[in-house]
Amino acid sequence: MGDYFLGYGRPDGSVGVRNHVAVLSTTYCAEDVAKRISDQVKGSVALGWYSCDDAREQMASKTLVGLARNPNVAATLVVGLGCETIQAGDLANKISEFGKPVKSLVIQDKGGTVKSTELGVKMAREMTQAVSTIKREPFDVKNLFVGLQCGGSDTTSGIAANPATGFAMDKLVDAGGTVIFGEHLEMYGGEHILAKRAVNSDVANRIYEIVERARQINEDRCGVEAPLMGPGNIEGGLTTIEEKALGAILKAGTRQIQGVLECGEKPRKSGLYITNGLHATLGYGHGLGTDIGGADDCIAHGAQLIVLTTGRGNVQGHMLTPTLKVCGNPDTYVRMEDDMDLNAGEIIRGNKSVRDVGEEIFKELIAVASGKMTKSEALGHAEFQII
Amino acid sequence: MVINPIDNVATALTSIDAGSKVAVDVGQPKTVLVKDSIRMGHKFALKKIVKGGDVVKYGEVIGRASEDIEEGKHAHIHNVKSTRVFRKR
Repeated sequence: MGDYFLGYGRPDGSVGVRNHVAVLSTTYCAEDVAKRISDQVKGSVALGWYSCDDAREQMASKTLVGLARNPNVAATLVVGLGCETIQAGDLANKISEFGKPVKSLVIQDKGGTVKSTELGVKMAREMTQAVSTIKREPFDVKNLFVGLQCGGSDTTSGIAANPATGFAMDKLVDAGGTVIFGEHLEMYGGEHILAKRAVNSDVANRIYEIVERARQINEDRCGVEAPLMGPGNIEGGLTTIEEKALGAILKAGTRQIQGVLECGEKPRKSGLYITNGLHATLGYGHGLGTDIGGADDCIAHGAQLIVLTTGRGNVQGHMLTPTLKVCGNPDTYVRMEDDMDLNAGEIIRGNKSVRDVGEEIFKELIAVASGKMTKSEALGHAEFQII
Repeated sequence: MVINPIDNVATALTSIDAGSKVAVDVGQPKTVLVKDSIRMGHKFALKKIVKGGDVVKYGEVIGRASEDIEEGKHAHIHNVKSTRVFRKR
C-alpha cells in the first residue's frame, strides 16, 4: 500500500473522513425543526434544501440524495413538513439504497414542533450512538475525493495557491483518487484548453455547452457579452482572458477530464471531473449561489474534502466536509492566520517552490482525511447552502 | 517564476527594475536580462517571441505576440493579444 489515510468504511464501498449523522430537511419550512434536533444531538448536523420550488425539485432531490450518500455521512434522519414537493419518505427510500441507516419524520404527521423535535432527538441520538462504534481504518489514498473551490482570488491565485493545489490534485489523480471542480464562468476563455483534455468528444462538447450557458446567464443578468478582463485584472498583470481562465482552472491540475457530472451524480470511476451541480446550473457566480453553494455541489457528488484557494482571504467551512484553505497571498496569510491552513504565499516570497507547497497540501490532505481538524473546523465553521 | 518548462514568459513574484539580471528555471537554469521594469504579477519574455508567435504560460497558449517581443521585455496588453475574437457591442 502506498499513501494511506484512516477513514470510515461505508456499506457501498466508499470511505468517509468524518462520521456525521445528517438531519436533512426536504424544504426550508422544516429547516428550523431539523436545526433544533441537531442542536441537541452531538455528532449530528442539520442541512437541507433551503427552498421549495417545483422548477428545481428534480435537481434539488438528486442533490439531497447525493449529500446523504456522501461518505462523510454515516446515517441520515430526513425531516419534512408534509406538504412540500420533495416528500421525506420518498427521499428516505432513495437514500436507503446506499445501505446506511436512514429514518424519516414528517412534522405535520407528528403534531408540530415540540413533538417532532422530541421524536427527532430520540431518533438522531440513537443514530449517533450507533455510528460512534464505527472505527477508523487504513485505506489507500485512491479512496479520496476532493472538491475544489476558489474564494476571494487575487493576483497571487494564478501563480501560487492554484498551481500548488493543481500539483497536489495531479498527484492525487495519479494515485487513483478523484477530483472535481466547477465555477464555469471562470473557465470562460480557457474552455478550449479544458476541452482538449476531455476523455472524449462528448465530454469536450459538454464543456463548451456549460461554459457557454454560464456566459449566456452572465450576459442576461449583467448585460455584457462576456466576463472580459477587468481593469483590476490588467493592473494585476493578467494580459488575456486565456491567461485569467488558466490561472483559475489550474487549481484542478492538468490531468484528463473524465466527465461533467449532473446534480448529485457520483463519478463512475476515479479521475478528474467538472460539476454541473445545482448552483452551477443556476448560474453560480452571478448572484445566485455563492462559494459555499459551489462547494456543496462538489460535496453532493461525494467529495469528502474541500480545498479552497484564496488570495484576499475567506472564512468559510462546510457542514459535511473539512475545508483546507490554501492562501497564495503572504500578507493575507499573516493577517488571517487563524483561518488559513496553508501558506502558498511562501512561493511569492521565494522561500518555497510550487512543488514544495503542492507536496505540503497533499500531506495535509492525508492528515485531515485521517481526522486532523482544519482551522475552520476547529473554529466551528459549518456553512451550507442548497437553494 | 516560470510555471511550465515550455513557457516563453515568466511571471515576476516581486517588482523587478529594468536592467536587472534574473535567474530563472526553464527546465535548466538561465539568466535573463530584464529590459523593462516589471511589476509583481506581470510577465517578461524568456526568449524572443516573433510577431504572430504563440505566447506560452502554464504550458498553454495565452495569446499571440502583436509585435516582436525581445528577451527580457515586458509582455502585456501592448504586445500580446488574445487568440479569441469577441463580438463587439
